[in-house]
Amino acid sequence: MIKAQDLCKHYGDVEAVKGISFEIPEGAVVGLLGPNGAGKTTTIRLLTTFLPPTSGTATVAGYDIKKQPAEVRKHIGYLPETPPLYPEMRVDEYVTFVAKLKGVGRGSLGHAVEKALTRCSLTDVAHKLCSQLSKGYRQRVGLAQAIVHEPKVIILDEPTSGLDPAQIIEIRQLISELKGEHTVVLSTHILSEVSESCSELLVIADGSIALSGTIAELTAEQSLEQLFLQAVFKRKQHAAAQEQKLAQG
Amino acid sequence: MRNILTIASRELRSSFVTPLAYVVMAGFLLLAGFFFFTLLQQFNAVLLQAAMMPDLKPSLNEWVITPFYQTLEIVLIFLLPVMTMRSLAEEKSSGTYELLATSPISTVELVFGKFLGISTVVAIMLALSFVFPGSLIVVADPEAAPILVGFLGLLLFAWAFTALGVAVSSFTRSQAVAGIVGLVLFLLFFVIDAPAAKAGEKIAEVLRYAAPSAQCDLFMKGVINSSALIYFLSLMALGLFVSVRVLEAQRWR
Repeated sequence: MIKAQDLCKHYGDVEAVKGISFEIPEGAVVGLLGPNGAGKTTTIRLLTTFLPPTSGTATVAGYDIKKQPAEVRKHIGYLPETPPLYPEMRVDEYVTFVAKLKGVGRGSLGHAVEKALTRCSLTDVAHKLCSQLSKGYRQRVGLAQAIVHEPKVIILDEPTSGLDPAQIIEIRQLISELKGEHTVVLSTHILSEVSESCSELLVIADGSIALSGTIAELTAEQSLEQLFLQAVFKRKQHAAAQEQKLAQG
Repeated sequence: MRNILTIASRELRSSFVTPLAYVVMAGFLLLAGFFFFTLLQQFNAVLLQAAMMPDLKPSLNEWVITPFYQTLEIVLIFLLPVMTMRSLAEEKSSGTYELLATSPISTVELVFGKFLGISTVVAIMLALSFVFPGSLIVVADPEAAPILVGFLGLLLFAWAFTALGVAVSSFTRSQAVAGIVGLVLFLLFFVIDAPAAKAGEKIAEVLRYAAPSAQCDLFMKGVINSSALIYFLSLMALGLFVSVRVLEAQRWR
């Protein structure tokens, strides 16, 4: 469903993503794991066509992010790190607005909005303004806008950051409900989140892939914590060695 | 087209649920009413003087309506940056731009939608102020054509600056920066013909042509002037074009 080939992104001199390649099968829930500043958000922004890659490319839902960005955008639902809400809009108004933007036809608009609101348990607050909502509800509205057009791929950037434990459990339940119907990519820096909700794992450290595979295979012998720390540590050593080489050469 | 209308109607609704549009409109109408009253007072004094000279007939158009529209131009220069500064800067700072940029709508549709939404608010504001010159048509007998066509000129003037304001807003994430830069540029552009008196003939001609108030004056005569029409439409096109290009260029950084 998602296939990246040598995806690279530079911000000026800074290499945020250094040529990563990976493949995500249909229906999978993939945890994009990595320390802060590892390149998770940049990778997500490349996949959602918010930023163009410096080099390399990726296909999302069968469309090339460089050549067919408009098609890619039709087939993704995206929740950025801060939910992109308009504070002065009502929840139902807002979700309807996004559904229209995403190209949901006039006939199915009402139904699609109602379904998204029900799925995210937002029917009680549908008439409230976005600015009146608590953080947990805002996150849910963000999720509702990401799924309202039934996209093939749903991309969530740290969907549980800043939430209290009860809210985290709610969001996780929602994500697990999406399993199967949609391909889900969610970024996080919380290990337990991956073991709770994901079927596959992609560890990014220092702009490169440090580890990838299905959770079941990877955790057969070692715990997730050990694996993650090893992968990140190796990546750091590797980077340090390369730097040394450069300094000597 | 559907996407443009989706963006425009959201912009329009948001304008009327937040206080900003009401505050700007109220301020505009207050100032308009104040200037209108002052101009009428002056006209009264002129009429008294003219009563002593039978062959002198001061015209309402010349003494009230044209100066009224010209004053509104200046009021607009100060208030329009407030209406346009939010447009794109706020989307970028609040993160909603990320939603728009990853939705299947083009940058052109986004910018046109924004412009359409704000220029509708501006048109409503101006239409409300039409009550002043409009009342003269009812209670006195001025020439109607300069009032109506002059008003069209004022509307085109306002829309041109709206487009330029949106363009200024596309450069930054900060509403305050967009507002202040907008105001400074608008003021500068408004008085661009000031050095014309001392400049060389060719340059003076260009400066006089570029001055938006001079173009607006052409409408005040009561005839739709095609060259002035093209002037204002080009300014709108320029503003929208710059906004689109700036937004697209920012992605590649």
